Amino acid sequence: MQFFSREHMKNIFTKPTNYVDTNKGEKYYKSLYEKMRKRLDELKAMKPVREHDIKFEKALDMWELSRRDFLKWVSATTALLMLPPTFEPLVAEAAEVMNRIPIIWINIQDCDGNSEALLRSSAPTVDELILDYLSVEYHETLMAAAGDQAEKCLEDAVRDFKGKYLLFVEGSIPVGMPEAFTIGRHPETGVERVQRLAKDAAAVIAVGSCATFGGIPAAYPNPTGAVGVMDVVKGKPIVNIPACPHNPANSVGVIMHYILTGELPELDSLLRPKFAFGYRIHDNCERRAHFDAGEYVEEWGDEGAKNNFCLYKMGCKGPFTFNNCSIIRYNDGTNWPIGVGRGCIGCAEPDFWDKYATERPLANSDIHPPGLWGVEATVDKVGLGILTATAIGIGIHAVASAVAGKKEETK
Amino acid sequence: MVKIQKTILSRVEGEIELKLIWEKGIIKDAFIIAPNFRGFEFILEGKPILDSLIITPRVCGICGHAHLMATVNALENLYKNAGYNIEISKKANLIRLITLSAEIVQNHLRWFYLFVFPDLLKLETYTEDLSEYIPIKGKQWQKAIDFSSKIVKVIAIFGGQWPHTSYSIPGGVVCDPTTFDITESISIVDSMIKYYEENIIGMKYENYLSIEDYKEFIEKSDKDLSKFLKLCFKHNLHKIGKAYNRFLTVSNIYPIFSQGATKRKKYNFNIKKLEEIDTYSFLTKKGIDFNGKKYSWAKAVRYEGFPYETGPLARRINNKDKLFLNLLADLKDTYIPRIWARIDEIIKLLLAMKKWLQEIDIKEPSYIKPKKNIKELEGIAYGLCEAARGSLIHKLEVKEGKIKKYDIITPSTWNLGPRCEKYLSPAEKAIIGLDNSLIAEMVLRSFDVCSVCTTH
Repeated sequence: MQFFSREHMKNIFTKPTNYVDTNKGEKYYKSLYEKMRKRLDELKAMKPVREHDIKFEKALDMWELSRRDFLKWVSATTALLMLPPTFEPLVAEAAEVMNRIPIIWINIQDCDGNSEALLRSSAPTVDELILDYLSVEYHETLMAAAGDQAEKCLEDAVRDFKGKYLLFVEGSIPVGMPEAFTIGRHPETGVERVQRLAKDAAAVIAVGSCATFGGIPAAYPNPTGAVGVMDVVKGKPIVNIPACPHNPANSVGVIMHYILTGELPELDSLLRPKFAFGYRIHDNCERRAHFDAGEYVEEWGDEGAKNNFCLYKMGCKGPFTFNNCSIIRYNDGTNWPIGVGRGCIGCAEPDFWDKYATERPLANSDIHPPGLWGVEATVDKVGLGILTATAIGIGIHAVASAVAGKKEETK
Repeated sequence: MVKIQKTILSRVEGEIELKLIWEKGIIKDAFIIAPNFRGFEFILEGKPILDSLIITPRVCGICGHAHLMATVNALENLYKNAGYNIEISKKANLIRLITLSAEIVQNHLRWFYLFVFPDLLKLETYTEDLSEYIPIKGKQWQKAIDFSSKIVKVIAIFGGQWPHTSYSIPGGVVCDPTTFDITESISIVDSMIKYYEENIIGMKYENYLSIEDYKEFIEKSDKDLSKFLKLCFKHNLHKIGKAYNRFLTVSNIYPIFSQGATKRKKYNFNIKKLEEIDTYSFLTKKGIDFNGKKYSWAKAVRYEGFPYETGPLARRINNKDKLFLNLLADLKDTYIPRIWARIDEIIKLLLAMKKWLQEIDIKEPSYIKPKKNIKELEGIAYGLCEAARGSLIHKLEVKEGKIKKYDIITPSTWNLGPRCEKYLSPAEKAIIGLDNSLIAEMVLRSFDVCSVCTTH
């Protein structure tokens, strides 16, 4: 099947697994609530991972955060996980027992961009919730230890938390050229390192496009034979959180879900959590109204660009990309690429470096936006998203209310 | 007896290994090994020209924006070399400078608190209370994270996101900021300046900028930078880490950076005098080679055949900054001036950012369409840029609308690359002769190690 052929596109956009079901019925949420309640009680009975544990209230104090800031974060995270607002107290409790789950974060063929993104996760500074409260046992960039001492930290964490830790992997794995990444006193290749650490992990979470689908290193001609984690780790639960860089809100979401349920969130066919990748950028884009009205930027810097028209004809891949950045945005929700008129490059989709890239508008492909060649029907199918009409100024709470609203309807 | 010690250096951006050869308790030789390779230059080959704008920022998660700038500069240089004038509005140029500066500021800030300070904690274990600087738990550590996250919001305002922005294109930028965006950015910069004054230098910036001598500064200040300097002198760190005393800066940003190569006297930088040597690199002109004495994925870069140090200290020296010329005379090109230069640069960039933000005229166009389609151009072009860690060079060869060859020389390649037949890299030279492996790591870290871009 050819890329960009109508058939191919139809396949992508009508795959049932790609869409998240936001309305699972009251019975489902009731049993989920009970399950979470039970899990949290179990965790509370457990001891924190670290000996020098600090109380959550004190952590908030230390960061000069008010309870209100925290509750804001809680409602945002509840919405992110597509849970009804009634689950907020559970999410708040979950945050307070985050230090029961040990985390190991390793880097292979990476650019450190996902670690950097993590340091910029959203308010009220999940930084401290993550770094201060979550038990990050090993992180090359952030830890105090260095050299042999750091290596020892890693070995200790693996031994002490066997079967319990979440392994975060950043960067792709050079299978075709093991020499492209070897490290350690007893040199270990990327494949060996990932496989060894994954063996004793509770689950593996691949963050960023490199760790999920190979990313840029895997772009043609893939000089190092780079692949994603799921290609080398077998027999372990794996979650993929693509995008370049990944949105830290989503990795926090996965951790929260794991704490709340003891399980990984519902995944799509590419192992991406549906709460984040269950709809397209296009579905919630702030420029969507212009798409629907047939108003496009035709050239950089033109009148359309000045008026924030749709970027589809400039090569925006929003209609083809499943991700929640139109809602979560980047850098504490400050902005996102479409916000500055750049267009989406589809970085959360596999192999996007070769098949999408920026300057290749799909406007000339078989799939056309409405108002151009009268193919509204096709586009309508493309736009099968869950929140299609909600366009401008949508905030994270809009998702929450949409979820809650739908629940009401079914009553 | 010769002893070989090999350490993985964590707490740097990316991974790097340091192999030390000891003889009678002294480091006789040092090898800096960059173990991670991804093959960006191969991936760029054969791709449409404009793809480089989204691929090169991904070379590095910390200096991605500088890579974007270098690519844009190279593409604009391509127009120039092909005989076409390319016009950039003042507004677009200011926006590029502002966002580039924001990236440099966040890097220096985080590097000082997250990577440099923890080393001093180790030297000082029981003698002085430095609990404020303990990673993750310490108040000053947390503040540094907080403010370094804050300044990148300026990049997000103009560029959409950070890391990995792609908002700049040949002919200008795609964003069209509003007055509100500019006001918000100014308020962020103002809060950064205040943070800098209160936490790092402990005085008004006007007073700090008039200081010409380190003794004077240490006397007048008792905040983080001063504390750091006092500890350095206490542990005799003012004598370590001497490299070649040759400094290189490739581009001008008036009034903060001026290009040039200084070897006793300052000369203009000339790109033609540059060469890459692969004797000790796995990556050679003929292909990949793991044989013999080769030990790093990085290549050695030489200017007129000599190794040069690049980065903030080089920029201060090439800019003839009085304080740093004095520091160089007193302390030579060692650990302290190298680190101080990075901290010093923060305030200079913040002040310039504020001025630039005020100068933006939102009525000007963000983008002026080049006269010719880039796909019709052919030739060789260079993109020069000053990144957080130093001079970044992109070399581009274009034929028939496709990239024929792409070559990236990163700042870390200058400072931390492998040796050539004649000379060690500046960081390797700075480590030899030391008698303590922690100190050796500290010297290496003073070059602001970034292995992810060293071996792109």
